Amino acid sequence: MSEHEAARAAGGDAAAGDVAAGDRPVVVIVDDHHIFRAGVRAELAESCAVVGEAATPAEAIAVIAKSSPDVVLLDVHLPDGGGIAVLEAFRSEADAPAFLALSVSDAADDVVPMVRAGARGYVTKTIDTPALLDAIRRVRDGEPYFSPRLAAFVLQAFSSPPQPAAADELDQLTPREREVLHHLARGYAYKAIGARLGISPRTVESHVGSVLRKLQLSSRHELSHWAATRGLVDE
Amino acid sequence: MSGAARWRDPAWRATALIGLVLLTALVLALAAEQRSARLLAVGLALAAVPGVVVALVPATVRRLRGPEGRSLLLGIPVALAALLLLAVVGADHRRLLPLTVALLGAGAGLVLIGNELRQRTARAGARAERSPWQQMTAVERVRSLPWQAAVGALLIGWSTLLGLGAVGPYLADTGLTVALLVVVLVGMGGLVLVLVPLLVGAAARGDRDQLLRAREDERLRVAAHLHDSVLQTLALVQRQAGDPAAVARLARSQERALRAWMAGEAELGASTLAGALHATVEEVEQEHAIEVEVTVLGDRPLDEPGRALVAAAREALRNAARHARGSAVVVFAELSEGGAAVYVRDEGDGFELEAVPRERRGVRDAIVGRMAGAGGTASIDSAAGEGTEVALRLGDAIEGSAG
Repeated sequence: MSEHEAARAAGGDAAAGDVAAGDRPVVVIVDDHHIFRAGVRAELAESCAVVGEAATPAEAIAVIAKSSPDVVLLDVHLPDGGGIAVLEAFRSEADAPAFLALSVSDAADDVVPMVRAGARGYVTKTIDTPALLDAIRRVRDGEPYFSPRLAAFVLQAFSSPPQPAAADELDQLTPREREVLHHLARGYAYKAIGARLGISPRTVESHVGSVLRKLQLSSRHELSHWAATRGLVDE
Repeated sequence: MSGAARWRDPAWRATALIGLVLLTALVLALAAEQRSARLLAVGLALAAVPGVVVALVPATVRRLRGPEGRSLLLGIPVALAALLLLAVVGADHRRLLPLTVALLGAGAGLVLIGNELRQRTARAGARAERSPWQQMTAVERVRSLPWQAAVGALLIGWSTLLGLGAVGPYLADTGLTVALLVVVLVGMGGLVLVLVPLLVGAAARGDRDQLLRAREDERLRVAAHLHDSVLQTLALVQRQAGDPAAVARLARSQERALRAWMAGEAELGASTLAGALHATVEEVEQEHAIEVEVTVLGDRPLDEPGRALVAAAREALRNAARHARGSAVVVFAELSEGGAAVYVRDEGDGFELEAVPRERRGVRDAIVGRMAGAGGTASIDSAAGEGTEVALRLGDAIEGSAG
């Protein structure tokens, strides 16, 4: 779906990043479906080192602590607390791995709470292998990975005027950030966005990074609402 | 229901007539001095009894069949027991007749009150079930007075008087009056104790039945939908198992349809702009065997400009499908009451606008011209090697056209 496009668009960047980084990302896969884990492991075998798998949050926390991977592919729907539980466990850790949330669902109330709890990106399970690899490399390098759909949801969440009482800087996007997000939602890659807005891809990236930060720290009603819905579903 | 409409209802006419007869009987019985007038009153009341039965038989049968039937069946042994009691207390024929009449009257009164209660609960239930649209448009009936319940109460009062009148004089000096009064009061209290929970329970059961019916309807609706969509697709997938591309396409479009349905979008169908856009995307996906990622934020009713927008989006999608060369096409739409913006983007080769041959310009004009005709705008942004984006805008999205 979305990621396909983004991967193609970002193909050049990703290849360059790979050469620069030189090594294979170390990955842990957390999903309660054995067959899915096996499938992803096989797909990633060529370009990643898959050092662990887990089916529950408790297992995941143990495996991650033991193998200290670069990137954790984290399913949203897990027994005993869901992917959120894993994210919560590593929230305050300084050397926590990068989390890439992975789910069959692309509903806002699945996507947004995961990102708010600390996931650096979100992809759906229908993603193809090159796009998944691109996403893994990006989050490993500390970049956020926003699919067009996630960008659209975030845009929507920040679109209503903020409550006057809490008119925090965190509660709204700057016009530039909005513009960047809008382009992401329309399927443009960082490089193309930079070219269209007359800024460098690095600057585009830092805008997305600050959107991610606001997404995680803002107390906007829309965002908390999604989180609350998720919480109800999980417990 | 207005008075005229009521009068046309034969059941209502019959009930009203019976009520009048019984009322006359009551007045006669209370006011008359002579024995003949009293007899006339009793006669009138007796004459009304078959009427009561006939008018209430359909309702009674319905209630006996329904869950409330139990309460009525329970009433029969109570009435029999009361009759037996009377027979024991006063083995006098002259007393037994008016007492029977009194009991029947009281019973009819109870039935009338119960009927009124039932109708009122049902009406309240129906009101609560109405959709907001129906609530807005329905002409609210004039609130009706509880005639049935009033007649029922009068009947019970009259029966009590009749019963006491018939029994009182005979027992005046035996000291049994007080005892009988106590028996009657205790009996009535017991009746109330039994009937009130039964009536309340019946109302609750009615609500629960309605809920169960609603659930069953919902299940049937879901089943019908799954049959028309998922099962059909699965059948198609089996038939086309040899063609992986076709299977993937079927699975994708079914997945999208199911998601939209779960999100409540399909309910609105093509009567909203979002629904129409989804349908159009799917159509072009099938037609050109391409992948399109659609994200639609917000929605608005599908009006004439909206239809033009959808037609222009279809042209843009077909165009993108021809240029995309296997890469995905992204559709992003922001819809609101005040306006709409739809972006159709492909990562194909792109083209220089000036270098477009004449026949391709036709396609472009179809997009730009359509939008202009609907009071909107269309802009095509393309450069060789950069892909193409068509932006379609309506209403207040035209001014707010960032990027």
